[in-house]
Amino acid sequence: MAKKILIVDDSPSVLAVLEDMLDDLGYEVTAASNGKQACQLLETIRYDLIITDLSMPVMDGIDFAQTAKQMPNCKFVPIVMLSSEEDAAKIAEAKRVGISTFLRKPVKEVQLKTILQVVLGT
Amino acid sequence: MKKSKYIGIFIREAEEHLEALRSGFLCLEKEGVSEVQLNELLRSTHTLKGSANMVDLVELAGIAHRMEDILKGLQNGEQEFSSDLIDVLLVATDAIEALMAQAQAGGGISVNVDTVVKALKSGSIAEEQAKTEVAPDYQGTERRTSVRASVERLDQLVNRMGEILLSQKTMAARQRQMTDLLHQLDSLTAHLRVAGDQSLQTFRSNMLGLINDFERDRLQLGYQAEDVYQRTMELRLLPLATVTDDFERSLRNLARNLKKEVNFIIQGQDVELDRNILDAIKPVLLHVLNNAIDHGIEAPDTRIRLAKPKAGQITLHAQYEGSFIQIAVRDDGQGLDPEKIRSTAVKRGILSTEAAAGMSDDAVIYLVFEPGFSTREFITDVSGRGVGLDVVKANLDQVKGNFTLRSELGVGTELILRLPSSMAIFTGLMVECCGETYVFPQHYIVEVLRISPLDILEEMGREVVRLNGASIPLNSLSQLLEQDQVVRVADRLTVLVLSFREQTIGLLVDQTLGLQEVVVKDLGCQLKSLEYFSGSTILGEGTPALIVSVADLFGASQRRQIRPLRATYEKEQKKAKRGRVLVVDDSITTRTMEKNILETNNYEVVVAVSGFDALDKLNAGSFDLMVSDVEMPGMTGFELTKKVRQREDTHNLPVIIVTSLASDDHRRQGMQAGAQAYIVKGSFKQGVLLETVETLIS
Repeated sequence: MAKKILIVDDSPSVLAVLEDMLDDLGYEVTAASNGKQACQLLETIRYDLIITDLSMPVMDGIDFAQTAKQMPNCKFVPIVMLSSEEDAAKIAEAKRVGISTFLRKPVKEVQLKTILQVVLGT
Repeated sequence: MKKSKYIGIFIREAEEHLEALRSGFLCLEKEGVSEVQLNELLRSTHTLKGSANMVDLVELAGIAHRMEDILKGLQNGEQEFSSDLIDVLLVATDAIEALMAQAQAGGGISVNVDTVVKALKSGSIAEEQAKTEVAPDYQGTERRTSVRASVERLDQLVNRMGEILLSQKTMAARQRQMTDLLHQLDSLTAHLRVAGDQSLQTFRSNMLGLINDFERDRLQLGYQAEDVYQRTMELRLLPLATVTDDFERSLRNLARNLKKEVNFIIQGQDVELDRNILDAIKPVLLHVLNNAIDHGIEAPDTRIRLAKPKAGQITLHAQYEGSFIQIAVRDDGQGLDPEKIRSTAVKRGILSTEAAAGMSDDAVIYLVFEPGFSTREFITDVSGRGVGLDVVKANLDQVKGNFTLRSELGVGTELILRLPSSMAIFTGLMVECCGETYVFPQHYIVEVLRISPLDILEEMGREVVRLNGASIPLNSLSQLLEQDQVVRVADRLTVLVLSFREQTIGLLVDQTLGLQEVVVKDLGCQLKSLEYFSGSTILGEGTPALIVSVADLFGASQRRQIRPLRATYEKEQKKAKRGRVLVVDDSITTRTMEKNILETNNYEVVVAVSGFDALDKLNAGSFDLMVSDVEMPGMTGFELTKKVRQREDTHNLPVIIVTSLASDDHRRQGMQAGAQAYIVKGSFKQGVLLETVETLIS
């Protein structure tokens, strides 16, 4: 069965690109445009992996990761952060709240494939 | 890769960010740096950078990145805030927009990214660089939930709908004809003494039922057609914001170049107008606003000296006003100087010294709109060509807009545009002149006066009428249109009082025929060159009518020398001094005979073929006497007389009954109905009729 991935980003272009890439790689993809929306999805659905942006309106990536990590459905789900953030302090904070991997935008398909294989063990 | 799909999505996303950035930058400049605002802007540039990278628009991402750096610098105090910096950031948004256009078109538009990045790094920008970065003709994208339709197609749709509406009106006329027929049937059956016949009664009530059903269907069709029409019209409407969005930036630039401080406030951007009108008023508004900054608002030090706020204020306020839209542009600058305008106008040969001196200050300021008044031309970035103030006027005329200009020296200037929200339909006043029907757009009409020739006065070599203490120059439609037929005679003359840019004229017409919604059709190409008309329309009965261009009429009435009106009318009236008589008879022989007798004796005669016709004629004009037959289809002369007595405007109208019914009973009926005289046809002699008419009229 295809692994389920939740992607969270406020940019529709990023979502479109990611969705197609992941689709090509054979994953089942759901998209959310901010942390809050993603949390609502997490309440009922179990995902195998979450890819989130950092800076987003309503609820940003760090708040979202923190909240997600406390949800029973999500406690052990790896969260990958995909951002163009360069601020070292921000990245450190992200790691602290449970982000397993930090990817820099733009991401290439090969990069994504490798990382996902590592994180998901597929 | 599905690149074009991503580009499409990206562009929609980027447009929103760009808009947020632009207004944010302007806000920073206006209200100073605030943490909240900076955070918002940072997030926009950041997202823009990330998204652009994802869809492979690396140069665009690079610019966004530099913008982000500047904003971060502002946030942590490393970057100093200045107006120059805002300029750089705005130029960067232009560059991004150009890159978006390039990405969408797949190349072809050159954008000098290096220059922009360099400027962003240094925090200031050289003048000539700034200019090269303006995005050319970037058209934006449609939202996914909408489809494109060409204006031409919409116009066709509007036109067809207009025609359906008209057919509905034609059907109303048909219905009246049917009802008339039914009345005729009634009088026929009465004549034939078969009124009680059962099958005839059934036929009659069936017929009546059918007419009623027809009316219901017609009305329903009308409502639906009206509804569809309205909705179709709305398709052509766009919010004012589509033209005013660019204003803020271009005005800000102008103000900076002229070293003036200006607060620009736009209200009512969501007011919707027909896109043709928007196209026409965009250069007008831009022009007027540019003028306000250039000539209106004083330099900051002057303003301080005058105890005015240092920054001038310009407001653009749009609002609905009935079926019109009003757009007011106001500034608190120095206002227009009537004396200066007078001397300039004389110098430029627009009018003579005497004429200039004779004009009021309120009127004189309108001269700035005359062709040739301003030798200076503005280059607008709307069309790229020079626009003089006279073009403002031409554009407004084109969309049948009206405007008023007010100004107080030292206090400010106010220009109010009044525009129809749609060009394709409007309420018009139908006017008859020399047997033709013309349509006047209702919003030019102040009043309709009924005057006597004696009310026409002469003032300073012009004929005028007085209205509310003011003198209004008088003109005649038939003379302006050069339809020099004999003026129609009536003791009351009908004068349309028209207002156009706070100038008022009176216009003599034969009669008014009431208001009607009209659908504007283009004049065919063979009529395009016709002076004084802006379009045509089809009236309810299917007859075509020309729509008068009030702007052209005003122009003509100032140029054209016309024959003295009062003398002409008085001469005509003398001829018809003996009175106006309505002759009602269904027999053409009797009608013609009576008409001839009266006309040879200097009465003006109008004939009617039935009671209904007579009532119509009474509605349309005033009479001194009515001569009527008794036995007529539809309505008898007795019934007609009773009706005439009941009407407010005719209850004193003398009525003579001329009939072959000689019995005393009939005579009594005639008197009871309210006739003043009863002449039996058998004893009918010229002399008797004339004598009676003379007695009753005098």
